[in-house]
Amino acid sequence: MSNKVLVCRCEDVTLGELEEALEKGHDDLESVKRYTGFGTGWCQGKQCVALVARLLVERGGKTPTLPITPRQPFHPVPLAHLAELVDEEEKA
Amino acid sequence: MAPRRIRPIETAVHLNVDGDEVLAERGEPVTVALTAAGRLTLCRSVKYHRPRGAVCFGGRCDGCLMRVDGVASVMTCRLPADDGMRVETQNVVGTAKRDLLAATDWFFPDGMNHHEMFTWNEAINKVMQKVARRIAGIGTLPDDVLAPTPSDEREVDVLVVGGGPAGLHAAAACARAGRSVLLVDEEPKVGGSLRWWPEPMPGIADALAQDALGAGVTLRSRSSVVGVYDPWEDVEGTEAEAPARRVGPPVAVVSGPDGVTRVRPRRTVIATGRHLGASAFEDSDQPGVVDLRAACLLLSHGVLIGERVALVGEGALVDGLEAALAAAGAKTVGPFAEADVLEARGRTSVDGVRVRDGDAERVHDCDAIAVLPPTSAVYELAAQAGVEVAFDGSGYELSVGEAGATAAPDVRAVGWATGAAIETLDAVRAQAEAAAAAIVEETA
Repeated sequence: MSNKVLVCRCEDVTLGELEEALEKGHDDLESVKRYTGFGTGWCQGKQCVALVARLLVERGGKTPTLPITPRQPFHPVPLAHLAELVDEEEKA
Repeated sequence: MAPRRIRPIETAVHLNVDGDEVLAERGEPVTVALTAAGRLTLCRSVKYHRPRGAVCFGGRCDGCLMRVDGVASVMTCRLPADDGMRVETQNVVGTAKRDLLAATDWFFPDGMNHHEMFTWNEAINKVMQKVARRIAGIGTLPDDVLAPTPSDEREVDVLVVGGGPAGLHAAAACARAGRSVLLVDEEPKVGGSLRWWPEPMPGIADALAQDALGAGVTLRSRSSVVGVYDPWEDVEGTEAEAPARRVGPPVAVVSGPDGVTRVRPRRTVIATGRHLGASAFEDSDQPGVVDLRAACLLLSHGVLIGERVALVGEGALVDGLEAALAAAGAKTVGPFAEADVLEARGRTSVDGVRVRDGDAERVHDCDAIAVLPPTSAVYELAAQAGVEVAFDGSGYELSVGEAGATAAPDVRAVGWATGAAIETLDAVRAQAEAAAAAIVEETA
């Protein structure tokens, strides 16, 4: 394992990438997400959003009043469970 | 040194893990059994194939994903151990400990910028995209196509999300007043923080659960409310011609081991507790670095995460873990302030922590690291349901008023999610029962 500081485990986003995003002018939480991909992996930010928000503030970024928009499902759901939810009309 | 059990197994079951036999206590989470057997590296990260282990032991991280009985990416932290389970490492060439694809980690010591990498030539870019797609990702399709599981629907007066003390008290109080109540909890056993707090109170958890069930609460364990949706009437034409209207109460989607239930609650109680989050220091993602809740939860299952555990963070919870580890016969170092911790050391397992000490740096020997970063409310569902969420300088908090009232008229929030921890169990109960009383009045 090479030495790395990871700010988002699920998508392997490093502190260096976060700082690079800031240098390029992505100084709000949503833009940092779109540039680095943090918070878009398996946990959907449950582990990393508050951490990245703190790191952003410490580095002079905009205060991230709101978290990145939470997207459903809030916990992974097997497709087999969702398959049955499709309306009968849509199936046909 | 490796983790070990401090209590013997009572009812042993056998797991098959990558061809090896691993003993487990029947019903304990598979990840707990693997940890007790010294198996900390459970999977590999998506991009660099860095070794990964469970951090949260609570369904919030990427560290326990394994292929179980032919199904990929099962969160083994919430899977009760049973005899004959076939557990396999996924997404590696080799084994979890020696994954050839880990070379990616060394090729890109500074990380990769996917905006610019291999973008100077279109043909090469296409080839590299194919390579990247083979190397990256988690899991492959199941051995067999899974049949769709049946779903059902139900209407209830009150949906309580989270079965910790606050959720259990609120649910029981609503049910005693004659309201139909569905309580959804993610863990195998309800009780929330009562089950893992440094001084766990399983007796109180069992009593509260019995009380709720006795009052008529329907309980759904190992299940998550994965979203809440407003039902809209079907209209023809554009939004301008015929604005759609919300019809009836929102629909909450509950997903559990047996499938999905669409629930139409008149009122919803958010009792979802808190995200412990993460700390960022060099190699803080390596197996053996866990959050404080995980270290406590392991102790409650009779498993020591290490013989010499470095503690990171501050406050009563950290002091509590320090005392609990000492009582269990382990040594601790620290606690260290999060800002002073620079590196989790060790090549194949944690063997030290590098810490800032004034103007100098010091390495302390340890075989595990337990961190308590600043926490946040579990806000995802609450936010979608209309509760206001805001950053308070260290994490995200719900905006909650008297009796758990929120900006959403049909939603109240209680318990640790609102900052009320179980050190003040009476206050947690008072808040939950006030919320329940308001709901009972509103739904008369």
